[in-house]
Formats: sequence, C-alpha cells, structure tokens
Amino acid sequence: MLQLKDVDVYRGDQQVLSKVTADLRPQQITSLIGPNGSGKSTLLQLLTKALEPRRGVITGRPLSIALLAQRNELHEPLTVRELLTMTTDVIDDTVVALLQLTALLETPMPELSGGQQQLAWLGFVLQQQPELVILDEPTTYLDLQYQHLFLETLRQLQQQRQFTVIMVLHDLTQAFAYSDQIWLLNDHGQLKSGAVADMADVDQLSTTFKTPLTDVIVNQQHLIVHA
Amino acid sequence: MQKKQQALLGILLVILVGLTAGWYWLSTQSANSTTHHTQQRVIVTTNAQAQIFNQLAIPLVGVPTPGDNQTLPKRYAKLPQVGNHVAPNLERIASLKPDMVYLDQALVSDYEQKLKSADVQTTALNFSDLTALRESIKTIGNSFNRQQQARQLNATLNLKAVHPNHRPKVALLMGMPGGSFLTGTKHSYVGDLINRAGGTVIGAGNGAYTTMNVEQIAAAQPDVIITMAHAMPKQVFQSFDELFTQPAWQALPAIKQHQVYQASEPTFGMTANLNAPAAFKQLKTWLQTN
Amino acid sequence: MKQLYNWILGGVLLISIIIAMLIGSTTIAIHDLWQGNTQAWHMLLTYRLPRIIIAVVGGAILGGSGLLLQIVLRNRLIDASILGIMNGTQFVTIGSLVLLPASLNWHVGVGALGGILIMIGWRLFIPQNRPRLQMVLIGIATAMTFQALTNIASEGFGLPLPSLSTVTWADVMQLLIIVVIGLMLLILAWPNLKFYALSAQQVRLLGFNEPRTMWLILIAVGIWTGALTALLGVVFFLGAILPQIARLMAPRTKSQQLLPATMLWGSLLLINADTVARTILAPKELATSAVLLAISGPLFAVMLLKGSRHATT
Repeated sequence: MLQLKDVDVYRGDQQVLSKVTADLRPQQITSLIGPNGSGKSTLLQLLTKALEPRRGVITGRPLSIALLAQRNELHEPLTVRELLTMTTDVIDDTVVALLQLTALLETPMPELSGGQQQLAWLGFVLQQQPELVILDEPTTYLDLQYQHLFLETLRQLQQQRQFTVIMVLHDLTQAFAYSDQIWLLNDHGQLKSGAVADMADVDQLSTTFKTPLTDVIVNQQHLIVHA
Repeated sequence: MQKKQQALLGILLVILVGLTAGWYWLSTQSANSTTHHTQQRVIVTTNAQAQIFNQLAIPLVGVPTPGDNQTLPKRYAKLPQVGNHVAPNLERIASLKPDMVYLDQALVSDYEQKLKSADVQTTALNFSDLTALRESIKTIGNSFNRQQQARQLNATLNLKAVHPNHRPKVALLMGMPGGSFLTGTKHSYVGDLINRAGGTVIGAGNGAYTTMNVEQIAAAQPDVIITMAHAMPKQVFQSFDELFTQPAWQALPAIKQHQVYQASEPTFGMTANLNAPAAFKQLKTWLQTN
Repeated sequence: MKQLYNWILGGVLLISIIIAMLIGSTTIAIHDLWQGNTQAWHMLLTYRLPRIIIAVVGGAILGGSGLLLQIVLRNRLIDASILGIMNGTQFVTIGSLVLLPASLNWHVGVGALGGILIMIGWRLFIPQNRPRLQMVLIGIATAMTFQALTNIASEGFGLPLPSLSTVTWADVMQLLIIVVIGLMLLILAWPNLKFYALSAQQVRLLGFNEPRTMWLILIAVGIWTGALTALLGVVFFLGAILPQIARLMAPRTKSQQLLPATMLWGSLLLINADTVARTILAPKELATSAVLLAISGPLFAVMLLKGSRHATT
C-alpha cells in the first residue's frame, strides 16, 4: 500500500520531517508514536493530502481514505442514525451492535457522552467502507473505560473487515497493546518503523521520549508504572 | 431525490417564464394621459409652491404638511395634507384623485416614477434659483389663466442687482448635521442673491455647491461669512459657532471684523421662494451695499 | 409538532397580510372591496399590494439568506449584512444610479447583479477559514468600508433611506424573478447541504464537490441580498437573528429543515414592520428599515449573550 521514500516536509523554513522512509502494511494496524512536536500530525496530513512533501515520493495512496480526529465537529444535532446514513442508505447492524450503539440510534449526537460519540464516529467512518482508516489521537479526550472499549472495538472490526489502520496514539501502553506495526518519530523528524515486537526496545524508547522506561509489554493491557 | 428535484425545477422554470412574460406585458403598458385643459384638481407638494399658488389665487385639493418654521396660507388651511416635501404620502395623494400633482424638480426621481406608474399626472417645477422661480411662476400663470397675477407677482420678485465699487467677498457655508459643510457657488439660490446684492461668492464650479476646506477658504480671504443649515438648524449653527473659534478660522477677515451671519428659515431656504425680496434686503444690509 | 408550528406561522402571516391590506394612512373598508368599489380596489392594487408582496417575499429571502450562509459557512453568528455583502451591493447599486440615472427602473435587477459581483469578490478576497468571531469582525470592517464608499459616491449628502412606498409592480416582477432563480439554484444544491454538518476536512475526504455546492448557494444568496438591499436598504443582524428565532421554537431541528420556518418568520417581521412604519405617524412615513433596525439591534445582543452560555458548535 502506501509508501513513503525519503520524504522531507517543511513548515515555512522549519524542517518537520526528515528523510522519512516507510511502508504502510496493508490490513494491519500501525501506531504512530513520538514526543510532542515530532511531526505526527504533519505525517497524517501527508497521508490525507492536506500537505505536500518538499522532497521525496509518496506512492500507493489508496482510493478511499477515512479520517477520525480527536475532536470531530458536528454542526447540526444529527441523530446517530442520521450520521451513519450520511453516505449510505443502509446501516450495518452488526457493526452498530459491536459499537454498542443499537439502543442509541435515534438519540441526537450532542446528547451522547464523549465516548459514545467517538464510537458513533467510528461507525460513520466504517460505513464508508474505506481501504485506509486514519485516526488522530482518537482516545485522548475519552474516559478511561471508553478508551479501551474504543481500541478493542477497532481491533475487532479491523480483524473482521480487514481494512488498514494508521493511528496516532499518545499513550504508549495503548500503542503497544493494540498494534501490529509501530512507526516511531523522534524530535528531529526521523522515522523508525517495524513490527511491534521488534520496536519494543526499552533503550530506544527511553531515548526518544527522554524518560526512563523500565519495561514494555506487548499486546496486553497493562499500566506501565515508572520507577 | 433526483426525480423530485427535477419536478421542482420544472415547476419553477414554468413560473419563471410566466413571470418574465408578465413583466414584459407590464412594461408595454403606457400611462394613459387624461385631458390637459381642465386641470381642476391640483395638489402641490412644497410649501413654496403653496405660497405661489395662493398668490395666484389657484384653488387646490391637497397641500403639503408644513414644516417647523412654515405656515400654510389661510386659503388652504382646511385642505387635506399629503406629507412633507421629502416624503409625500402617495396613498393620500391618490385618494384625492388629482388631475395634476406638482413636485419640486430637486426631489423628483422616486416619486415621479411611482406616481407615473399609477397614472397620476405630475409636473416638476424648478425653483433652484430666482430666475427659475420667476420662470415657473410664469408657467403656472399660463397653465391656470392667471397671467396677470403671475406678472404682478414676478414684478415683486424683480430684484435689481447692485453694483458697488467694492464687492465684498462672501463665503456661503451650508452646514450639515454632524459638522461638515459645503460651500455655495453663485449657481445656488442664495449664492445668486448674494451676487445680485453686490457680493462675490467665493465658491467656484458648475454645481450649486462645492467642497472647500478652511485653507482654500482662507486663501480667498472672505469679508463676510453667511451660514445656512441643510437640516437641524439649532445643532448646525451651534457647530459653526464652535468651528469658528478655531485659530485657522479666527485669522479670516470676516471673523476678525465680526461679519458672520446666519441665514435661516423661513426667510432663506435651499430653493427659491416668495421670501426672496426679504432675503435680498437682508443680504444688502449684511453686505453693507444698500 | 414541527409541521403544526409552520402552519401556525403561516396562519399568522395570512392575518398580517390582510391587516396590511386594510390599514394604513387611508383605511380601506372590507365591504368597499366586497362591493367592488373601484376606488378601493385601485388603491389596493396600486399602492398596497406591491409593497405587501415585497415585504412578504423580501422578508422570506432575508431570513433564508441568513440561514443558508450560516449553513455553508458553518457559522451561526453571521448573515449577509454582517459579512458586508449588503453594504457592498448597496454601493454597486448607488454607483450605477450615479453613473446611469436611467437605471432606476431596473434597480432591483442591478442590485441582483451587484450581489453576484460582491459575492465573487468576497469569496476571492476575504479570508475564509477564520474563527467565527473573527469573521464577524472582518465582515463589519468590510461593511463599514463599503458604507464609506457609498457616502462618497452619493457626494456626502447622505442616502435617503429607501422606502417601500415607491415600489412599483415592475419592482415586484423583478424581485419575483430573482427569487425564483435563487430557488432553482437552491434546489440544485439542496441534497448536498446535509454534508455541511461535517467539517470541511471530512467533506473533502468523502470526495464531494463542496466548491460547487458552495457557489450555488453563494450566488443565490448574492442575488437575493442584492435585490433586497436595493428595495429595503441595509438592515443589520436580522438575517442572523431570524434562524435563531426559528430554532428557539424547534430546538433539535437541523438547520436545513428550519428554512421554511425562518422564511415565515422573516415575512412576518417585515410585513408588520412595514405596516407599522406607514401607519404609526400617518401621513408621515417612517422608513421600514429604520423600524427593523430598532428591533434587530437589541435582539442581536440578546442572541449573542444567550449563545455564549451554551457550548456553541
């Protein structure tokens, strides 16, 4: 699928991404992690074509891309059903059930909790049956219970539908618990990528995030407590 | 959705065609003219017009609502009033079924249009200066068979020009609410009177009024300043008083010699009226050319 | 409930129209009309009916323009006056009257064309993706600039406020034609309006032709605003207030569904303001826009205060 080769991105005179080379594995979940300001949002903007690289090549962009941001604006008090049927007429009931929205279909979005809204947006995204789903910090504003529900549901749906996911996650635990691939961005805008097991390198992570980490646990839900 | 859209668009298109046809039909309707000769039901819309028609003893069916400093001639005191000269009430006018409505030429456009489209005959009278006033009186005299009275009236308006050895320079300032002002030229009604009274008006140009700033006025070194108010006289004259206390104005000969005068209603006005002789006399006194 | 609400508004409007037909500086008695009294009918047809039609239709497009702008620009604080469009079209209309006095017959049509010009200029030259309040400020600045230009064009004599007392049947026809054209554009854009509930970024990713829909709406709003301003003058804030009033009565309704109610409120407001303007000080006539301005200023302030309490989208 999508390939980036030696991509440089500037904002004005400031270089944000430097010689980024990576391969987005299709039908897998990739998490994009890195310290604040490392250029994660910029990289996502490249994928949605909101930005163009100054140097380098991007190939293999899929035809259908859907985006889920941390805050999704809704300018009208749509019901969940109206949101889901915006692009298609038929609602997939199994998806709705998985998102725990069956009872809430006729409820207006503003009346739902943040977590329920985000799940509804996930449903909206999936109704479009996209090849690639981009998620920009989807769990940042959610209650803890909803954070895991969301990611868990995402994983299940991804396994069912086999779409490709790339998501920016703030929380390392979540990234390593729910991904197949990890893309790691550092302060200088340089990217390292690899399978989640290979990227679970404590030293590398400690250096990049400038904080001492003692342990990284892959594919399981754990809280990491620092020494 | 597509079908419904198309149906609606189709209906609207038909309506559009219908409206366009209707509009075309409307614009080909010409106003029918009624007889000109027996003009019995007449309405005037400015106070100056009412004064003149009164002097010529012409009966009216409708008169304008008088302004603050104005009174209607006794002859017309009981007649229905149709609003002031700036905004005549068209419904009232129509309900009186006039054969002719007289408008002031300076205020014509909108109302002429509307009255024409309602088949009401209108005539615009030009009172822009003394000469135009006398012409209009003559025309009215002819229309109503009052030529004798018109001649007599015009005789009283025959203001003989004065030719003094030294013609004082006069700045005619027309003030507006808010503090700004325009400078009159000799083409304005009062400017023309000043000319006849032996003064030289400092404003130049082809229009009745022009803009001059205090520098340009100072350069002309006026001997006399005459102020007028376009509206809201109390505020405007107050503004002028404050303006003249400024150093730039204090340096003018007119102000140094206290030759500053207010030309207010009803003697003076924006357009010519029957107070012209009184205005003329006043001007000669102010210019000291009598 | 929503249907009932619209019918009630329609009923009140009908009553207002009948009242407007009968009262004024001269009262027209119903039984005169009934008996076919030609003078009464002539009075009605020549003087009352044109201005009533223009008030009803004009009010509807005033409200409609405001709502449509709020939808496509995703901003509930704006309308055609606040963005400066009304002042812009007024400048074009006055300018053309100064250059070509004969265009007075066509001033409604000229206004509509001016509306298109101003809309195009607005879209090209005014920054678009700014925070809501900033757009309001930019718009007011634009309005003031055009106001100054208009004053210069009319040589500082000040504009007489346009009055509905001089509207002719030709004006009515021009307005109706412009309204129908606008409605046709609106119908073309209608199915895509629902996407404005989403952010612009989302819509882009969905692959829908947002510019085309936006232009259809902007041109419709442009011609409506231009025609309206030529007839009524510049009236601030009402286009922004009317949708809010409609929304008050039906809180959980989507903006698109509020269009009929908003238009009905606009008609109601305008026709009654006009009736008041020409009756209260008869035979003198107040300018309708002056009556409207007296109402709209305080209403807008109330609206802003109320809006800041809720979490606005």
